[in-house]
Amino acid sequence: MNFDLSLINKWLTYNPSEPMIFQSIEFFILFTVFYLLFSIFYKSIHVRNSLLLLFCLFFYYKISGYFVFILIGMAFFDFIIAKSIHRTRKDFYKKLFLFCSFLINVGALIYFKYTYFFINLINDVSHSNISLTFKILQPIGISYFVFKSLSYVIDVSREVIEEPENDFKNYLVYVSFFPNILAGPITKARDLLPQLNSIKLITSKEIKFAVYLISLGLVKKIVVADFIAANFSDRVFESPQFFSSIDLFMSSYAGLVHLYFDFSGYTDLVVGIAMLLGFEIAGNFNQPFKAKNISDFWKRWHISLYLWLSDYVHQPIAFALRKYKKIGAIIAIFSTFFISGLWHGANLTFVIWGFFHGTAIVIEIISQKTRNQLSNKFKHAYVFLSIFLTFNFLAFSSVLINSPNILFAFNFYHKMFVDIDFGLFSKWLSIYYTPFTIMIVALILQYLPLSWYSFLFKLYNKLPLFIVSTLFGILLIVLYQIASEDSLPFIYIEF
Amino acid sequence: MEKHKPIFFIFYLLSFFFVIIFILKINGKFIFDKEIKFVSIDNFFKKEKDTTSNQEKTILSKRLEVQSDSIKLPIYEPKSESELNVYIDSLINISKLDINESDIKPSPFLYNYQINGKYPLDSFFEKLSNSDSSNKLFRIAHYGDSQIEGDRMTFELRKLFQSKFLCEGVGYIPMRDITDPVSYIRKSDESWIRYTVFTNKIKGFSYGQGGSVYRYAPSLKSSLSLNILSSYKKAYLYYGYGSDSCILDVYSSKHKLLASHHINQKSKFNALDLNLSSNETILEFVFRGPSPSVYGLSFDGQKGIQFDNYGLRGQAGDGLMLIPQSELIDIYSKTNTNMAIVQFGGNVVQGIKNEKSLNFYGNMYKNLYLHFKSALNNGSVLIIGINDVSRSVNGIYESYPNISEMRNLQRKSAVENGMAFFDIYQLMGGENSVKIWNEKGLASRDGHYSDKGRAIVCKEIYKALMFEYKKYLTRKKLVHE
Repeated sequence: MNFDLSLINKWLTYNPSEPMIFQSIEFFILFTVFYLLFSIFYKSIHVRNSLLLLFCLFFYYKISGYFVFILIGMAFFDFIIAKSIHRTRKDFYKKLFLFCSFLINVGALIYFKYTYFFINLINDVSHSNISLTFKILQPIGISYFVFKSLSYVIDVSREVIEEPENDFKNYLVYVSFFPNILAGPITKARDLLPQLNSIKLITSKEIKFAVYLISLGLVKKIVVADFIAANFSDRVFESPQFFSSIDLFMSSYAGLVHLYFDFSGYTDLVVGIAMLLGFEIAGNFNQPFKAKNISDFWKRWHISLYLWLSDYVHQPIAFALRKYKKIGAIIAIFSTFFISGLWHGANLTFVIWGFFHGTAIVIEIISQKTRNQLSNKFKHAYVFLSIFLTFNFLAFSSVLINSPNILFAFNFYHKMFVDIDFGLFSKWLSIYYTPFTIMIVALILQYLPLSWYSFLFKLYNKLPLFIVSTLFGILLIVLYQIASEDSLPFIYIEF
Repeated sequence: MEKHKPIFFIFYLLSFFFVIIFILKINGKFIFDKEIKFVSIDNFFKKEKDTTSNQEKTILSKRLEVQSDSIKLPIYEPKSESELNVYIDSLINISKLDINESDIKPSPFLYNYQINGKYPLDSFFEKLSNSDSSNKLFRIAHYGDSQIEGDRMTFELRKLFQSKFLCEGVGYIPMRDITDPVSYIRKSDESWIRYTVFTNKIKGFSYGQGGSVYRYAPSLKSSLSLNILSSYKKAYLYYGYGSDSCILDVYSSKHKLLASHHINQKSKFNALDLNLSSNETILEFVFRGPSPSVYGLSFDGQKGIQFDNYGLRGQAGDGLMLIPQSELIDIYSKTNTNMAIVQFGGNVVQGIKNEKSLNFYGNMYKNLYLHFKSALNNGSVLIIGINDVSRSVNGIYESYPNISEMRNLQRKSAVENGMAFFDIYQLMGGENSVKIWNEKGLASRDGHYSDKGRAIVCKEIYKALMFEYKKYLTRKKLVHE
């Protein structure tokens, strides 16, 4: 047994082809070392936060390399701007500073994330051939840290945050907070910064809840999301030409299930990791497939983004256009979903996806009266039908999220709806029995009453920490087996 | 009073893993015949990831033995991911250019080795060199799995040969298929049912040269619409037993009756000339009366060469050995099929778990290749080897560990038995190349080529064949001189 010193060097340096991920051994080891130190110094806020900052920046360096300096630079800029907004008494300067922050943050986001999108759009529309002589790489998580930083400056300017943060170290921890830097949830400064300034005892209760969330996240990701993607949905979306219409039809559901379990699993994982450190960050999901309509869905799905867009995009636009009543409300909805679509991805498919969702909400507003009447008349049937229709709408619209371009999505929809042969379903089921079963069981679990889970959680909470740790260790080994399993063979429906 | 507990938690968890990794050493042990994979002591301190199981390692160790049996290894093998990237980029750049005479160079991927004084592809080249002067059309049957279904790959090869030789039409068209073809548009009546030689296995029943026969019974009427999308001179219906009361009417796009035929021959294989005007590319075929056994249609030139696509998704290829030799010989003779391209392997990689299964599939391919070789008598057989296929391990896609061994066995069987072999696996870049092909939009992770990927592969096959053809012409010239 020889220890290879070069391994430490490998662990500590950035490798673009192997960015650090939460579910890696490398992260497990480095996090354990950090967590040990963090726990020892938990009573000294300064040392604890310094350690946390070091780990956050190191983690970001490991996933994004030298873009860590862009993150530090932008955070520093907003830190100063927020202080300047707070200090100045003149409204004009407040607005000017806010505009500067907006320009830098949104400018950086557009430059890094949307330059190619706009160039391609111009080329397509004007049949020109504009190209860049250099390559733009996107800093990972830019959509998240820009929104976090921008919301802080807006909150200071709106005086929602009465006193801006005085310690840049703490502010930088907030912006670069490693559990949610990659894919949220988008925490607000007013929620996280106070936690950085207080001592938090991490008791058995917190650890058990954190372990529960981490376990749930890993199971959702490895057992459901990764399995469905590797063995069905990714294959279909990768080369739909090789699959039958029934494959495509079912993959629209599988794609949605994969998206939810991947994202909510990830969220549970990061909320759990944050909780291990003693920080509470709000989750992002609340049984979204129970949604009865699309506006209900957005209150249950990616909640932190929904709240951010509601606070900083929808409400200001709706307020500005309030005199136009319904038309103003509709414009505010479409503008919000346009931004939401673009934020999700620099592709027209996301814009159309946002448009679909915006349209669905507008239809809800217009049909409010009729729907209320129907709801009063039919009650349970109405609820069931609403959930069923909403789920199908989500599944079919999610094809756009999984499509690389509009033409691909169009062809996918065409094959899925026009040429469908439901007679092939039994053959499809015989091939994809395992992914289908996992999908159905995972979905059924989503519809069970929350009280059942609360009961089970209460039982779990009574276990001693030693048992919880052992069970967690066993679960990790089992999940490692599942993750190490070969994907199922690539089989296609024969006829 | 509540206590600060993280250190206890870390201690419990690390103790658990210490016992698991260092004392129980669970990595590589078996529970209920299932090998446990976990971080071992060695890879804990040395390598981060080694998920290759012991069984796979046994197969890997066989690699050297098999390689020593093979004739030669291709010239270029990328050593790292960056080299692989550069190599694949060069393939992409080359594929964007038109093929010039200067591009026709010896290919390290094509094995056309002389055996008993004869080169495997000479028979094909002889037909090719006479394609202009001969009034006959000769056919090449391209057999494969989902990699070629829907006329994929075959269409590319046909197109490339069309640029140099006389080659018209789309060749063989099955009555129904699960995928949309790339070279023509087909709308089949749902009453068509496919029966295959490998699933139905009815003794004495003929399944044609492609191993599939179509019937619309119990219905008494069925139809098929086609848009050929390319010019052709002759159109045929291939069928087996027909009834006296079965009639085929062929209509134009304006529903004008173009031809009407009785489908009433009693022999196992009949090629009915449909006598269609080559101006009509949008056609509707209406069958009336009890269903005959239909193998398919064919749209061809009057002379030159034609490539027929027999794509069988999900197949390892072995099912085709159930087509009796005598039947293949008869059909090949009636359709003037002089060459077979056999391209299978992607569906067996998951089944190779140990040396025994590797040898099983190796023998299976040897027998399959010989099956076609014997049926073609003096014709040529080109084996296109297995391509790279990946699988998900710990959520990361990597090649199946046994593809190169399978390729070696396929190559050995082909070369030692007088057949040509094209090494598509090595052309892709070898192990883990499919990952890069996927990243560059050339293939899906399961190894199926995209349009771009297919164009690259087919161009390389074409160039390699053309170089051998040039060599053949030089040899022929020397003999005549």
